Amino acid sequence: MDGSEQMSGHTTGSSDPVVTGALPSDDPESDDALLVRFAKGDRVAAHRLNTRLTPRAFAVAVRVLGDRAEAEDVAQEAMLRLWRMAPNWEPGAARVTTWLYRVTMNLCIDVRRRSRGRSVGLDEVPEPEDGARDVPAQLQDKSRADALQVALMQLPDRQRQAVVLRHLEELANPEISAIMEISVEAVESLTARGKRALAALLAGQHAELGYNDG
Amino acid sequence: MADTTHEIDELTAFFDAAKREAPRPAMTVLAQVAADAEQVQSSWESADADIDPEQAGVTATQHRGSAWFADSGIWQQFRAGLGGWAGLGGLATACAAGVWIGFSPPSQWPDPVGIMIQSGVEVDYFESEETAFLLSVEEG
Repeated sequence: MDGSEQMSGHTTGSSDPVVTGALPSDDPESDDALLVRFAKGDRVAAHRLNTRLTPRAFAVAVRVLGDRAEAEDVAQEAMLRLWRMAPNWEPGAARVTTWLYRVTMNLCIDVRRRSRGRSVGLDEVPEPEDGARDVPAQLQDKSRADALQVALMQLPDRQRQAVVLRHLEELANPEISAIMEISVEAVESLTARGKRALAALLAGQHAELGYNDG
Repeated sequence: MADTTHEIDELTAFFDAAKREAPRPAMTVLAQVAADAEQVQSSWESADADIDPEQAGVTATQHRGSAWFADSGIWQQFRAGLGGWAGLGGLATACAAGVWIGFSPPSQWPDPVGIMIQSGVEVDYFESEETAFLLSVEEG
């Protein structure tokens, strides 16, 4: 993973996000370094980037789209664009993950636009399982995760994107700002509104999901 | 619309559960991404082979495999024998999938290296340069 860096959230009009203050990592296993090696034909670098980044693109796409099959297509396309872009990558100019998340989000937006008018039926999203008081922790986690996904799909697209990036991908607001091409203040507003909406949607399910066991 | 701090704090349990249950891509997706990477890198190497290194003033090391690919006649015959670019693409996909599975076998599959180590079977790990290369970069 790239080392932690202080970032501001300004972007250029180009497709490549520029996060001021980002410094090239000295770690030869950083995303930055691996991408440079990939561009030189390093197959090991290709494997490591694939292992590290494809799951992240996929997880974000699943949470934003609520459809696993579409998320697979999005993740594959996003990674293909990363491979093709690699020779033009400027080490230290931005985080690789910021670039990848932005491409993934834009692809998700395209998918959502094509399916506009076809609402994501709850049948397409896993239903939360009935929770018994003594359900194993793993099943309980899955139930809560599924319930959260159902609620996420009821948020407006931009709120869902912001909440997923902030609270599930655990990105800092400046990086989210660069990914979504909005101000940091707009990110904070979207996540706050999204969380309030989620809280309301999930408020009635705590007992069913065994929540009160702490 | 509920906006109590308590209810928003309770969201943390849902977020934590969702992070522990993060959706993971199928092996087929990872294999396809690996195949795409191989195709892209191979296309660069093929493009490099069209450039005469001496005229371009670049060193041989900057054209990986150029000693092989520089002879365009052999390369064209090789490619034709595989069924053209489509066949070459299929071969690249199969190879990449195999390399991927070798690096990261599915969790339900036994680790072949681990089995060899545990069974005490003696294997000449360095019987080929390729094996030595793979083992030298295998993540611990």
